[in-house]
Amino acid sequence: MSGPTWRSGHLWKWAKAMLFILPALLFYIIFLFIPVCNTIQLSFYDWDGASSVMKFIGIENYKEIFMDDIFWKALSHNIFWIVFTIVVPVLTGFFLAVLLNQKGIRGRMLFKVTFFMPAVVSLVAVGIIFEWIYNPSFGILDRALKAIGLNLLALDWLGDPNVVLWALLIAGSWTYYGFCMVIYMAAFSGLDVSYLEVARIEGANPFQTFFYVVAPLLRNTTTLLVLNSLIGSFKVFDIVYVMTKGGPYYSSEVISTYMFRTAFNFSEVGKGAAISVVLAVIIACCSSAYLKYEERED
Amino acid sequence: MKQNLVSHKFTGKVLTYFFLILFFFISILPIWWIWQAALIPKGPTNIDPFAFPTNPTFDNIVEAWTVGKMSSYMINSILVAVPRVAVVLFLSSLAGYAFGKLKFFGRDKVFSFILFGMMIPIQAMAIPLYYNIQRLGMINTRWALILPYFGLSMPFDIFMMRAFFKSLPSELMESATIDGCNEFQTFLHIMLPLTKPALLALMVFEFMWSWNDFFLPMLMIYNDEYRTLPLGLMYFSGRYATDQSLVAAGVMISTLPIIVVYIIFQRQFVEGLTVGAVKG
Repeated sequence: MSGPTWRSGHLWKWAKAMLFILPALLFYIIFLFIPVCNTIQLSFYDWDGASSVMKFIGIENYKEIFMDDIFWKALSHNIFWIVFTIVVPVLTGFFLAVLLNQKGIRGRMLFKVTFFMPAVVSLVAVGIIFEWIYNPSFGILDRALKAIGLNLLALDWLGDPNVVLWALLIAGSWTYYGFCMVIYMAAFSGLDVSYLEVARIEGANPFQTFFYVVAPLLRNTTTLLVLNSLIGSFKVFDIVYVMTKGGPYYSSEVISTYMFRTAFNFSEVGKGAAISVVLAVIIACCSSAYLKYEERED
Repeated sequence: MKQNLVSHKFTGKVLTYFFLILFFFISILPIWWIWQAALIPKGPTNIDPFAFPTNPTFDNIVEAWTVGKMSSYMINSILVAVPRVAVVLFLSSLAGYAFGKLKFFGRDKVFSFILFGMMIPIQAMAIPLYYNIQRLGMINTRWALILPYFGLSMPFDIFMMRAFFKSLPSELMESATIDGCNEFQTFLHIMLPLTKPALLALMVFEFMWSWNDFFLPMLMIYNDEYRTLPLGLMYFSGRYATDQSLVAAGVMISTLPIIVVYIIFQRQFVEGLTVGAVKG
């Protein structure tokens, strides 16, 4: 064995350090690492969750998933979720951070705290609140649309397969722009003002300053938020499950709800495990890109 | 020319405040509506939940709390959050200290092994976790919502605590050793108190995640007796769907505590986030 020299001092030091990490490490292995391995294992079996027989079927579960239209539909919804999240809440957060970062804004802290508030409320509560707002009979949205004469637009937002995903995304974005704003504000406060000073002395107009000086300096923060949105959008579950459970007719199904339904409602545990593995692989690819990026910045 | 510049600035200011106030209302109105709907008395006909309560009543809140069992959900949420947050913080600060400040064989390898967990979504362990908890006979107990997080929270929390411990000067440890502290005493009496701001931020976030957790409770708890607030609220709103004031009261009861915590600890929320996300 290479590495530690077996002098008692080193071994003792190693054992002491181990005492610090061992409790955490054990729980990590029991509740995270082993379950992940079990999921991979289960994904090669046909199992209904109750019977004592598990039939090894190789990659059949994966084949079945990739031939399932609902899987592709769910995946396309996740991808739509990503695009929308990057365009709407991330840009909104940026815009609000720019507004709040101006000199002499009154009530900056009040605005900041208020904008982030939707992020601390449970998604079940958010789901209920937005179900009310979208309700076709008493919802404030349709009533407002009718009041200004747009009766055509007063839809059953959560019941119409064509718009349900948009409706869910608005609710989801409501909880996310505050986070983006906080991150951008932190990035602004870390900006080196001397660059801006130079730009001003060189006679750049605000437009040029923004696009040639500020935007490149914010590239890291933006990449970080984009990757965060990417991972979050693949994982999305709570808000969809609470508001539509993936319906109507799978029109708001995402990978997580598809997996949950398969494993726990239809008792196709092996297939559910295979969906989880596919999801985890997609997210792991995005996350490792994220971590690699972070490391490079250090 | 100068006149023009001044009016230009003025328009900018007006537009700025217009958008800030617009988003102020977008952020607050949805919560405001449902809270005020909780105060509208029940009538013979369906109420308008978006109307301002002209003669407010606390009857709905009392009913949701007692008959609707929101009190039981709240107690469960507290009984889950307190041990979960306490143990998770303890475990992650111990490990974070070792990874950040001690030198030992295999440190970086073990740390990468734990970081690996940060890339794995909860869905990827959900199925085996469910069957393991079932085997342990802990389905429908609060343990099912506490125990798994001792492991699941480790990657992110150790990552954070390591970063904080790393930023502390090592000289402090050396002088503590000279003063006769052993390894654990150095950690507990010298280093840990210095991470108080970080610990507080992490505590606030762990509390919020525990309070709002939905996926694992839904998997583990069928028995109404052990439901926590988000899960309880979902069933509650289904059970009383026709009674809008009552549902609103349920939402109010479950969101009020976390919003109060948020307002008290706003600095920790906003700054903790920044440290975690920007500096890593």
